[in-house]
Amino acid sequence: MKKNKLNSQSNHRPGLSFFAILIVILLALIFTVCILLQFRYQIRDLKATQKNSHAFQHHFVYIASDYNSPYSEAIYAVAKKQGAATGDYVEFMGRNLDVPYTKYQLMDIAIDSKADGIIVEGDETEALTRQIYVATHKGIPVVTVGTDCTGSARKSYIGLSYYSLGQEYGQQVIRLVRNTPQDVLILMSPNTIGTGQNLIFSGIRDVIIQSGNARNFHLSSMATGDGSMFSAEESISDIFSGQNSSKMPDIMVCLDETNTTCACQAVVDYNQVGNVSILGNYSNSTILNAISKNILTCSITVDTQKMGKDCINCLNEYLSSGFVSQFAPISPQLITADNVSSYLPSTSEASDENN
Amino acid sequence: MKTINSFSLQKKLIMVFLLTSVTISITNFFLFLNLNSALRKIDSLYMSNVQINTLSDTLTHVQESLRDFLDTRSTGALENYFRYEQSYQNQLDSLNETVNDNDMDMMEKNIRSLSTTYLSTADATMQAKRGRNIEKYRSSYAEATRIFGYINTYIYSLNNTEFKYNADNYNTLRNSFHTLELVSFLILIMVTLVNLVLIAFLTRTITDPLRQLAQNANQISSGNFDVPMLNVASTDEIGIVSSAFNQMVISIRGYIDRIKSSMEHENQMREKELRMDSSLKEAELKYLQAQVNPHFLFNTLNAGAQLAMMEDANITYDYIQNVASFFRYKINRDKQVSTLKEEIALVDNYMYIINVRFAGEIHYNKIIDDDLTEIYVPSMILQPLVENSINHGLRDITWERKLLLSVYRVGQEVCVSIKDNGRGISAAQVTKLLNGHPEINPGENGNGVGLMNVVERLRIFYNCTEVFDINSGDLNKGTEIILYLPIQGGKEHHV
Repeated sequence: MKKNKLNSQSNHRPGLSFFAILIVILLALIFTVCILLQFRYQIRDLKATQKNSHAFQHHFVYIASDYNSPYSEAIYAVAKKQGAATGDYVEFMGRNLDVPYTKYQLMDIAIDSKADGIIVEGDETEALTRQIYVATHKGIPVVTVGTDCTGSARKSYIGLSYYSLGQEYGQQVIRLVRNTPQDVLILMSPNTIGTGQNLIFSGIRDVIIQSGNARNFHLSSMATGDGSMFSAEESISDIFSGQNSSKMPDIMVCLDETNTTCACQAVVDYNQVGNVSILGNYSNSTILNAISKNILTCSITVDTQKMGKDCINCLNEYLSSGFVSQFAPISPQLITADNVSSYLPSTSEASDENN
Repeated sequence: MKTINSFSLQKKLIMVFLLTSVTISITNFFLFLNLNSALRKIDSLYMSNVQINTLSDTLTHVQESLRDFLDTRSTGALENYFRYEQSYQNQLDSLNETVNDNDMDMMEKNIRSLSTTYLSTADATMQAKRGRNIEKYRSSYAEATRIFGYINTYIYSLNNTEFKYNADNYNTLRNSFHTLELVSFLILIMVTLVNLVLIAFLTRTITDPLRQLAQNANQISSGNFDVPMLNVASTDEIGIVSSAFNQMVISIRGYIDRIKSSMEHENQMREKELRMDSSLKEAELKYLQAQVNPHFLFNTLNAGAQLAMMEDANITYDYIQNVASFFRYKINRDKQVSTLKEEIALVDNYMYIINVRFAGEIHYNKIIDDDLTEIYVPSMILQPLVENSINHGLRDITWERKLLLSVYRVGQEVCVSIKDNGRGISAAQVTKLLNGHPEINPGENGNGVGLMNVVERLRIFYNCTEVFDINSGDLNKGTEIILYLPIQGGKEHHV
């Protein structure tokens, strides 16, 4: 027994402890490798982000009169989405350039950079007509959106009928008839000078006359500014300022988004809400809020979703078949205090899409 | 399967060294790899900006050389134009030309397309200049200059966009780099700690057994052999030393046990011998006291025997010769052991002497098995018993005195019987004698060498208690004393 008695304290050779340490080392190694692999993955991920792109078949260019306009943004967003679905890349020309080129310069760039198609917010200028001709001559189809360039070689126009739009405005003006004659001022956009706005004006006038209210409304028009930056807001503020207050109209009809927004702000700033009825154009959050607060009587807008999709569809149709309808009509949509609530969510969604 | 404990110390040390070295090496390798990768990435971040700037410079050179040629129409300007135009063309090849949804790629594509248009316009300008078509080269130059402006704007914008992108990446990379620094620091500390623990553990596996070994060795050196055995858990050098130590402890314990056993046996033997000597010396002392001076008597008797022989007194001669023989036996006895035969001869001498004294009245007879007389027995065991029989049994009786000495075998024992027809012993006294409590006064009769002295020496000699027996019919019915002498024991003893 004595011989078999072992020393409980001596020669403590903990094999298990050794393997425990080995396991700890292995875990530490795994931890290290995981962290370092994560670091390498992060570095590789930077490069991957740069190269994370999809190839497209066509390179379309979207040229807006004002590339900061939410209206243009909304049309571009839909067009881009539609293009992605059909294998076409849509570039918002000029937005990522550090020099603020005009629409005509951007047209030159689009033509010289050999785009596969151009979507442009048209006007009735000779310069744009010529550029559309050059582009068509070089095999680049051009479609106009929102506003047309009548008489040009554009392949199609996607937007409202100007005269019909004028008639719609005319109907809204008639609703504001009073016992005393009222001055109606139509604010025209200098960026879309041409026959389009004249047709709108004609539509308004014709409706008023046909309704027998010619004596109740005195129509006049004014171009807001000279097309340079901030000139529209200055022109509209001048209407409400003290020295011109005697000329202040009873009804203002705004034919673009910028004029509408500026008019809303001016009528509030000069405390003329209720004194001046404003008929606006387009819908954004400011305009919709103004309608809901009865600052703005109504606004006529267009379906930018349909416009954006039609732009891409028209270009693809032309590229595939060589033919396309010259006019893709878009119906006007009237927004009043009665139905503004249904536009608020959709507008916010549109805003999200733009973002 | 070979476990870690089966490795040698050298292998363990090498293994730990390799393990720690490999761990730190792998860690450093990964850290180095990642740091290097990060540095390369930082280096490459702004490489695209450098390339774009080079592209812009080359385009400017093309435009300047074009204008220079239009101004001077010099050969140098023309050569410069072609050289820069070729260089620019080569640089354009590195730009993207596919359509995709990456803004920078699309800017590169636009730059490439605009540049192609620009170069063809510039070529047309050169051709018009050579053809002296003034209107055309002026308009072409204006067109080229316009496109040059667009390209420059694009390059500038692309440069800015890439710079912003690269700056974002650089910031992300810097953050990752700082994180990597921190993680690297933590990893190094962790690896160092683990290595320290590992080394401490291994060192302990070496030092702990050695320390325990030293403690056990110290206890053994201080005389405490009851130390616990070392637990041998490995087969390394430490395990080998521990096993050897355990074996040594076992051997020492066995050796000590054997020494103890041997010493005990030796002590027993010595004690036995001392007791034998003591008893013999006691017998001799009492015998000498009785015989006064045997040497003197023997010499005297010898002289008397020679005198009787010269006077032709044969009976006297025989008597004196027997007496002399009796004393010679005692004088010549320098040993504790004698044969049974010698003992019987001594009895014979004694009886001859006694019968002279008793005028032949004691009828002495022997029934001896001669095959049994060569066994060794303690000296002086029969004569005292015969003397007792005569003194206490036969001396004072009035009837015929008889004494019978018998030697015979019963089993593995030689029985020696001394039987007389004297006064006998009472049963109580027999019992006392058998229990070792005699009431015999040695000084009361004869030489005083008593029965118990003989019995004690027999017991010591044969190492057993049952060595004698007493038979007596009762008073006046004689006595028989029987000695039981083991044959084996008697044959093993030598003189």
